[in-house]
Parts: sequence; C-alpha cells; structure tokens
Amino acid sequence: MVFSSAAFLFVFLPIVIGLYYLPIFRKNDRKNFRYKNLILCLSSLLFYAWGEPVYILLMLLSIVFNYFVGIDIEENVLDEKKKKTALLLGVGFNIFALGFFKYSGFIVSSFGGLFGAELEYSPLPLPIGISFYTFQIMSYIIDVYYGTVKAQRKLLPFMTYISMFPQLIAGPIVQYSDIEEQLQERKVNVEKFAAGVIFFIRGLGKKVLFANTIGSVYTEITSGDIGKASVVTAWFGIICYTLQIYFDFSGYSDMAVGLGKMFGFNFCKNFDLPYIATSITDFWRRWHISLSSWFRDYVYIPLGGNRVSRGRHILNILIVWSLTGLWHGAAWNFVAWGAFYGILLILEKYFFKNIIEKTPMFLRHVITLVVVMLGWVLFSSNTLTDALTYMGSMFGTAGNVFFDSTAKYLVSTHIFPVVFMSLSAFGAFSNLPRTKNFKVNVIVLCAGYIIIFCLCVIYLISETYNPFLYFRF
Amino acid sequence: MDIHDNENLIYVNEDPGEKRIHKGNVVFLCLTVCFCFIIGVGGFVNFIAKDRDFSESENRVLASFPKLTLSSIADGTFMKNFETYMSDQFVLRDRMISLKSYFDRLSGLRESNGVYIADDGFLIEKPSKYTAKKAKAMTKSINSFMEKYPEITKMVAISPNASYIYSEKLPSGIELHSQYSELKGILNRLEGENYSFLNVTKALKNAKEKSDVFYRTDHHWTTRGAYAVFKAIADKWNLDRKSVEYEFLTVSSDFEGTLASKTGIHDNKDKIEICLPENSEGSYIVSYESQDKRTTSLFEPSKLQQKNKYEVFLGGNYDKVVIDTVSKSRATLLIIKDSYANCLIPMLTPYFAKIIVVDPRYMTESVHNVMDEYNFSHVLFLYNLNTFLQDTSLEDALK
Repeated sequence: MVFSSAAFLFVFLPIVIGLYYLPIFRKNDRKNFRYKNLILCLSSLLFYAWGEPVYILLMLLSIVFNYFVGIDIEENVLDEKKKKTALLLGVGFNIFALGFFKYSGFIVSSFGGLFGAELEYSPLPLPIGISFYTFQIMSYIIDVYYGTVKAQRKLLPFMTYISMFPQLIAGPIVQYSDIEEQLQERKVNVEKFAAGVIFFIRGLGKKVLFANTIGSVYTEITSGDIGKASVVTAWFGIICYTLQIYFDFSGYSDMAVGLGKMFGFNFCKNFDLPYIATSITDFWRRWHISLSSWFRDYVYIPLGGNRVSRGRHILNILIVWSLTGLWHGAAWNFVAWGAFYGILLILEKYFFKNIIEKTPMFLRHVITLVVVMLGWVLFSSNTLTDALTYMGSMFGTAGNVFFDSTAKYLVSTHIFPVVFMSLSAFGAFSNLPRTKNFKVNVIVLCAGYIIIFCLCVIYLISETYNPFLYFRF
Repeated sequence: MDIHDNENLIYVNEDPGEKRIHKGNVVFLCLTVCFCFIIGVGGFVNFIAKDRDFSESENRVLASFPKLTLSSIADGTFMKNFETYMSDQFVLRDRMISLKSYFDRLSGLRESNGVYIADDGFLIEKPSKYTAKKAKAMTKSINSFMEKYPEITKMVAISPNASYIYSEKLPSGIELHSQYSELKGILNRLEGENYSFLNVTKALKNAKEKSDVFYRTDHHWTTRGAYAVFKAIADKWNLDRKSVEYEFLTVSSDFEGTLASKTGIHDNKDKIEICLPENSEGSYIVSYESQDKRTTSLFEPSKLQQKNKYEVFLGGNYDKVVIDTVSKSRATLLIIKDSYANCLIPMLTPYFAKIIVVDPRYMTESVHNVMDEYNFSHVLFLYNLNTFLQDTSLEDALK
C-alpha cells in the first residue's frame, strides 16, 4: 500500500487515526502510550504485510533477533570481547540479510563477468523497505555497543520503532537515539497533528501533482534513440528527471514526517531545498539528509573521519560514497554514481577550495546544479554506456543538432509545469505573502491545503483510469 | 515550532506570545478537523455508496469487493484487488477523471494514453511503428498466398491513418514518419499476375477537402472516407459505379469513439453515416456462420444504443460473414480485412453476387479453405496501416 492510494487515504489512515486517538480524553500517561504504541505497531505490521505477506516474517525475525542482540551487548558491557562478538553477530546478520536479498544477483553477475562466465541465477524479489529498516536496526545495535543509548528491554517499543509505517518503506532513516525518548512518551496535540497534516499534504502534492505528472518525459526520451536526440531534448529530459526524483523522494519523506507528527513523533527532516545548494558538499547537506548522517555516523567516523592522513581521508571518502551509491541499488551505475560524488567531494575539499570561494554565488549554484544533473544521468541509466551516450547528447559530442521538432513538442507541452516545479524546487513558494488579517490567513491556509488535498485525490484516482478498448476488435 | 522546520507555509507568529498561540490554535484545529473530516467521511461515503458494476465511460466491468481467502491473502492478490476495488468504486470517479484531463490540457499537455490531442477537436492515435522486417514478413505471406490463384483478380488496398491524412492538425513539433512512403515500401514488395496494388492516400487526401474522412473521436475512417476509397477500388476494377446512386444517411450524431475513451476527453461527438446503394436494403442475406445467425441487413441498428456505435456496420467483427446479394453480376468476391472495411462493404454489393468477408484476427481456419469452398472471381485485401503493422494473425491465416 502506498500513501498515495485511495485504500490508504480513505480506509487505513482514518481507521488507524481513529483507534490511536480513541482514548482522547484520557491523560497522556505511560499506559496511554503503551496503548498508542500497540495500535501503531499492529497497524504497521498490517501495513507491511499488506505489501509483503511473506517477507513480514523476515522483518519480524530481524526485529526479534536484533532485540536480543541489543540486550546481549548491554549484558556484556564489561566484557569487551563478548560485547564485540555480539555486535559482530548482529551486524553480520543484518548485512547478510541485506546482502542476500538485495545484492546476491548483483554479486553473482559481477563475479560471473569477472571470470567470463554467464551464471544462471534469478535473485529473489527484494523485500520492500529492507534497506531502510536494516539501517535503522544497525543504528540501534551500534549505538548500544558504544553506550550512547540504552538497550530497549521492552519488545513493543522496539518493534514500534523498526516497523513504524510512516517511514518503513521509504525512509527517512530514523536513528534510534533520535527517537528513544519519544517511544516512551511524546507530545500529542492538535498543533502537532495539524503540522503533520500540512507536511503530509505537501508531500502528497509533491508526489502526485508534481513527480507523477512530469515522469513520462524522461522515460519517453530515453526509450528512443538517445544518441540522436537534440541537445535541447537531452537537457529538457534530464531537467524533468531532476525535478521528478526530487519531488518523488522528498514528497515521500514529507508524507512520512507528516504522518509521524500526526502520531506525535518528530522525525528529522530529510530534504532541505537541495537544488539551491552552492556546492556539492552543500548539496549533500540538503539531499537525503538521514542517509548521509547515517553513513557519517556509522561508517565515516568509525573509519577515522577526517582526523587521519590525507591519503587515508581520501580513501575514507571514497569508501563511504561507493557504499552510498551501492545502497541506492544493486548495479554498477549506482556505484559509479556514488564514486562520482566521492571524487567531486574530494576535489572540492582538497583542490578547488580556493577557486570555489572566489567564484560568484550564482555561478556556483549553476555549476552545482549541472553537476547534480549529470549525476542523475548516471543514476538513472541502466548501463554506463547509456549514461555516457546521454551525456554525449547533452553536449552535442556526437554531432547532435541543437534543437529539433521533438524538443519543440516536449518543451511546448511541458513548459508550464516544469517552470512551476522549478520555482517550487528553488523555494520560491516557501514564503508566501500573508495579509495582516489573521482570519483571512487562517481561511486561506486551510482552504489552500484542503484544495491541494482534493486535487491529489482527483489525480491519484485518475491515474487508475483504465479504459477497456474494443480497439483491436 | 515544528512547522518552521522546512518551509514557512503556515501562518504562525515566529515569537508566539500567549495570545498568538491561542489564535494559532484556531488554524491547527481547523486543519485537523478538515483533514480528519475528509478522510473519515470520504471513507464512510465510499463504504456506503452503492458499487457500480459497469463503467460506461471506461467500457469495462469495474472491480468488485475481492473474495477474502487465506490463499488470496498469502499471495497478495486480495490486497491488490482491494486497492483496485477502492479506486474503481471511488465516488465521483468519472467526474474526477474528466476534471484531470481538463487540467492536463490546461497545463499544455497534448497527448494522453498514446493519443494526440490535435486541432479542431481531432483525437489522433499515434501510428504503429514501421519496420522493414515486419513489412517484409507480411508482404511475403501475402505474395505466397496470392500466387496460388493466378487467374483470380486480386487487389491489395491499405489505408493510411488519421495521423498521416490529418498530419497538419497534430500538435506543433510532432513530425511523424510518412505513412505514404511506408505504404509505397509495402506495396512495392507485392508482385503477381492479375494483381493491383492500391495506395489510397491520394483518394483520402482529396476527399478530406469536402468532408471529414476520419472520425474526430475514433480511429476509423468515416463512411465518406470509405466512399472515396471505394471509388478508387471500383475504378481500378472497372466496376460501373456511375450506374448506381449512393445515398448517405445519418444514423447517429452522438458517437464517441475509442479515442474519446482512451483520452477521457468527451468534448466532441461524431456523426455516423451509412452509405447505401439505391434500392438495396433488404435485398441480401447476410449469414454469420459461426454465430448461426442470418439477417437481411448489413447494419445492426441495436449497436447504435451501445457505446461503440461503429459496430453498426456488419454488427462488428466476425471471423466469416457471407453476403448473398441480388446483383445480376456473376462475380464473387473475397474480402480479407480489418474493421475499416466494415463500412465500405455495403458499397460493393451491387457488383457481386456473393461477398465473403473474412477477418483473420478471428479465424481459426486457413483462408485457403475458404478459397477452396467458393469459386471466387475477385479477392480484395483491405487493411489500415496501423493494424497491418501490428498484425499477428494474418501470416498464420494465409499459410
């Protein structure tokens, strides 16, 4: 079940909210939160089982196993060796599960390629959200190991943390330390709920009204002969993809944050207008923040971070970014995409630092955007060759014409949404004017969000439009 | 306040004093109530609303509440079907869909579901992709079929589609490969005795000056378009068409064709005409052998009550239809065709004593069997290019 479906919005969500706030006049004491956690946990399990009726067993196994690993680590707090064994066991289990389900096909085919053998292997389907919940679990056991958090002795809050449906299948990756206290007790009030509604509707709008409507352009361009596309077509295509991936992903994160707030949780924000970044370092401070923080806290810093020799630091960056790339998908183009950013970050830190500081802001912004878009070409292409062909068309290296009829058609039929979405991605609508009259503001705000919500419903119902055609009859 | 986390869209004072907080609460309460009301009441209304069985605008049976069984849960089909059920049965679904298609056009979009939204209310289907390989395979099977019957007079006529005939109405920037040269490429590959190859492009282009030769909301040619093609066929075969008067009668003026369904755009309606040779109606016997049905009309008026009114011609598509006419001619004709031919066939009736119509897409037997069964003087192969290029049944049927 995705958030942008009628079944979620009009059946699952109202029922869960209704049950969650059923004891509305009771004091928000521990008992009440036990009840709330129970509702949240059960509904989350139902939510997961809805999409993965079989793999839910894997998730439950993982939860129970890691629950005991956490306790085991804490029990052996004085015995360094035993503590380490427990940690390694836990991390090993998680990485094995992730590796087996997500990367086995990739590993087999890569090894096969290495030895020139075509290995027959059909990997299992990927369990939804495994990349997200495995990382959350690992944040927990590693933190328990370092003693930054206490092991969770109660299964219910632990299970609620891992399986919480708002962020279960597409993040943000919530670190246990950020949410530890909220699992016991949290503020639930109308302010928070309304803020959640705002985040949710904003996210839904980003996904349904923006990302979904622009998505076809890039697909259509790449399904043709991209090597012969005109320069404008290639650029327009990647601009559309750049917008689509941002609105899709940040929309989903906003919905998760919004749903979290409706249930009283505060998740960290995951996107902060990434396309206004003025350097690659800045971009990664704004894009998928929860993932970069996770890699910083659990890979980069344990490797020594930047408090090591220059050569080791460069190596650390490359390791972290190759892994970041690989996290996004089990294919070489993702590794290349990660390494691309690793190299750029090294260049920014060590070689171009002075030049960048002297460059005017506007130019820095433009360059960053272009680099990010080239990154998206790498990210979205199936093979490296496809990516290079696409980039070739962007810069006309294969003698591509600058402008042709396809470009004219695509641009003329999509220019309004693209301009509107670009403005939105640059934050042009972040500070809307407001009147002095408070009542007017209230009405405008409520009406605005309700209208956006209704539009989303119209759009997502229309997406299922499926005329039966007596067409070939 | 949390809301300031991201973008400052909510109007709360940045430095909330007592009063401000109180006022802010109105906003919060208002939004909370509105949102919960919409999803709660929306869900409830959907729950009590009566399910529809059939969607007229989508021309299909809508999903009903899925059966709950252990196995349907275990393999996830229950969940999938439930989601389809929810969106299929959503209240005001049809309204929402037409609103969305209106918004799409407002935003500048000029195509939907593989159909171009062209000028003057024309909806034009994207043409099928032409490949030399497909053209070669198709013409090869036609050639080897035709060469078995050297004495019979044969013709292949393939029609271009609206995307070519009305290319000037396509959204600006759309440049499609010329169907005229594709047709030439196909017809050039055909060879044999007593054999003519008809590129009907010119006939249609000339006729469109006077009237629409394609429907605006459907992928078929109009009866006027078919008439222009009929004239070209008749002239090629030296049929004495001047001796027969043809009359056009409008039988429906609210036809919304497949392209209207595909796009969800219902702004325009087409009229359907039928074309009758004088004094002809009632003077033939039409047998639908597989249906065990006989009528005396080439038209099926009951189909005008349904959505796909184009089926008024011959009642739709059937594997084999035998038409016996009162024509004094002794000629017998086999038509191998797709649905484009359906509205043209009545025009041919004055010149043939017997017309057998076969649609290879519905045939299980070989066309050779039909050839053996009757003694044909003429064979007409009549297709439109889109169907021809996508066809998967002809090669088998001609074997």
